[in-house]
Amino acid sequence: MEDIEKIVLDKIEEMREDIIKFHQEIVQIPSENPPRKYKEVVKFTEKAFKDLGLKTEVKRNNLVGEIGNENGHILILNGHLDTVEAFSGWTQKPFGGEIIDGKIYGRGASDDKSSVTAEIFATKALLETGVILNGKLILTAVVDEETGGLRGVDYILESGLVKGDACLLGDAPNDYPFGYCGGTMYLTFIIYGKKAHGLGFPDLPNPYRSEHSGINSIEKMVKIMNFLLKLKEEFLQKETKYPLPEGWNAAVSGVNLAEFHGGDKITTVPDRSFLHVSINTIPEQDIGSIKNRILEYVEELKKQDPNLNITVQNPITFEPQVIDVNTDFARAVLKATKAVFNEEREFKLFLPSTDAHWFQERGIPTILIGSSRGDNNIHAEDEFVHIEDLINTTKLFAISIMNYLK
Amino acid sequence: MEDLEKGVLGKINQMRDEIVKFHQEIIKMPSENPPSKYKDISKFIETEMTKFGLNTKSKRNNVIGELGREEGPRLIFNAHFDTVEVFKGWIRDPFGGIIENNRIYGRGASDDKSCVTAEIFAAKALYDAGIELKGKLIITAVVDEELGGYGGTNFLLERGLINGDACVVGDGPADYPIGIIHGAIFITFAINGKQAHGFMHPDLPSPNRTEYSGISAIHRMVPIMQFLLNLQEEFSKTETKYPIPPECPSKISSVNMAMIEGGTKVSTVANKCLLHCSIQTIPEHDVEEIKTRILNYVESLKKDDSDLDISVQIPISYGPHFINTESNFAKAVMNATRTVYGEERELKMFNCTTDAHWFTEKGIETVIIGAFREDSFIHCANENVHIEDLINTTKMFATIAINYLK
Repeated sequence: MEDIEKIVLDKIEEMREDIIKFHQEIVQIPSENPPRKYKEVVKFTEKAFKDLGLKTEVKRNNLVGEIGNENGHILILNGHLDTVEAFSGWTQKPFGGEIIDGKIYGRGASDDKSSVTAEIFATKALLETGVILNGKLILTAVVDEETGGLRGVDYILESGLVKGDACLLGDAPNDYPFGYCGGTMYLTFIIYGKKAHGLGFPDLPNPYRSEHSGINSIEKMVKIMNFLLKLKEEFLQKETKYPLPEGWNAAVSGVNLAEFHGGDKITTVPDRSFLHVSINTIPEQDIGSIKNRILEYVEELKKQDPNLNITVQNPITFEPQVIDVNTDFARAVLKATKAVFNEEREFKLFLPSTDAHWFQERGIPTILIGSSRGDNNIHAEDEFVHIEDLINTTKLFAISIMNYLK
Repeated sequence: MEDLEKGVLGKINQMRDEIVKFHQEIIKMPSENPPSKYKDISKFIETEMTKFGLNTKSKRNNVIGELGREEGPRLIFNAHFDTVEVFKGWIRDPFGGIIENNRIYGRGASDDKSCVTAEIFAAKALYDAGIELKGKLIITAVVDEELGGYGGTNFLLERGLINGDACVVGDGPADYPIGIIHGAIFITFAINGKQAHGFMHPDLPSPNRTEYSGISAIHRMVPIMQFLLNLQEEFSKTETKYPIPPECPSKISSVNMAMIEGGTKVSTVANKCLLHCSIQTIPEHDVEEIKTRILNYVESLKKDDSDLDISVQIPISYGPHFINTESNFAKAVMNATRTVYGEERELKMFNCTTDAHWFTEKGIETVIIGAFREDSFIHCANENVHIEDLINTTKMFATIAINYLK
């Protein structure tokens, strides 16, 4: 390890209590999405950005802070402030930030306030140790990741607020950098039927129909659900060749029928149903062709059934991404793993959808470094982060920044 | 037609405007179920029934009015004034009671305030005409029919607040009395899964699983939905041999998947899924056997899938019921059709769930009459009743009472 790396890592160790305290405080401020009340959390984070001396701007609750010069690369750090809802079933306070056995509990403790805390303290450690950075460092703490990112990362990039040569994104598991990302597609199927008394005028085939018979929007969804579950079966046959982190066993593409809503009343034929589906693919699979297969199937169903009134919405689609390991950026990150873990660690594959694709689609190479572990209960009750992982993420951010902007 | 009947029918014709006005009044009082706020309408009906000369009381918003004497047969009239919710899509005020083209519009105009109006004015006509009943007539205007009847008809019968030898339930189609009542099963499937991040810990089979993998409640509902569709397919092969009223074209048993609720978020594995179904069966089908087949299928799924945590609830189920066409009561009904329609009409089979089964289960002979037609849009937007059907139903109630209690 270089001396300068050691100085920065020691600094982070010194700041350990501050990091924990800051993280508890940010977890204590609810920022659930929905209902998207971000004012307080943004204010809190903005103050931290300003305390670092960053040139700070807030746009639609997205926070951007800059420091550095025009003499080198521009590196973006990204974490998101919004969290999924608390939901029910917690044994700890979801906005308590309590520490138990080296873990900090709360909604967002891992996903993804840990990344926001880490980027702030990584920068703080570099500034306080007087490391000279050539180029520009842009810290971003955004919203709307949990509901797609159109009003978060996509907005700050599309509006030109943020530009960069590379991006380090939190929002990922610990221990390894992630240079390979899965593809993702969100689909919503909406079927419109016809409401009727369910027992008097049920949805039956001819000759048992009259003009007053209902059209059952839930029953018409079953074929689509079966098709999607068959697709899921088919995906099981193809395992990725990209390395997965230990403990991550999902080596295949997945289909998740995530939400299904329809109907008002047990005696009524439901006139509307919604099915929300997410599809996540390994890098070996092409999202575009999967989408075409699904849409073709829907068209075929429409041809078979004149009563099928269906629309398919596809709010988000992005293809898998694979990093070029022979770039300055990739090497800077790999070298950071060596400083922090005393051994160089290879890039792994991360299948879940994050905000990374917004950067990648714009040609900004993106690597994910995060602090979540399998046991962190993210998106579930009793979410927490291991303090050790929070500190390690801070260290990996700091050394990666230093190596890339040297 | 006998003079007695003539006198009563004449009375009803005279009261036509009064009947229409009363019907408009009760349509203007919302009594949607849910939210089950019945105080105003219940009070109104109780007051009016008392004014009309009935010996009236109310229990838990159910109104009971009596006429006649203690000795002799007891005849119950039954209708419900709770309605389904308004839902959307109305082009007329759902609580306006507006008259257009000889129809009265509003939620409950047909189902089932029409029969509340009809039974009350039938009683009033008998009272005003000074008919001496050789027995007791019990008029019930109840709540909770739309949610099963536990708080309405079943409550009155279980508590012994009413009892009778025969019953006319007003909640059926116009023109034909119903003497053959179908079977029905109301069934709810509740699957508990395990919530998890849909991309990080998707619900995949081994070896793609870890202890953190989600268990999708929606995925596990799909085979059950398919089973029910197959059941529907099978039902389509057996037509009932019993006569059906022209207003209800279905001659086969049917399955209606009426409501589904599952999942919270597109990126999350759904930890809960609820499917509410109603199944109505023609008399040729055995309700118990269908129940057993469904439950056996669920058991077989449980055996194949140790992660399947499912419970099946059957809040209501009842078998078909046939009236004895040779009974005094059946004859009283048949004679009434001749009086009202000028021709004797056969007793038909009805495939809607009403409160009738509560009476038949207690051994009370029951027929169903009513005022709805295909274009009455019950449970839908723009519900209405033809004024002619409202008057005819009033006449049917009155004439059946004269015939049976003479």
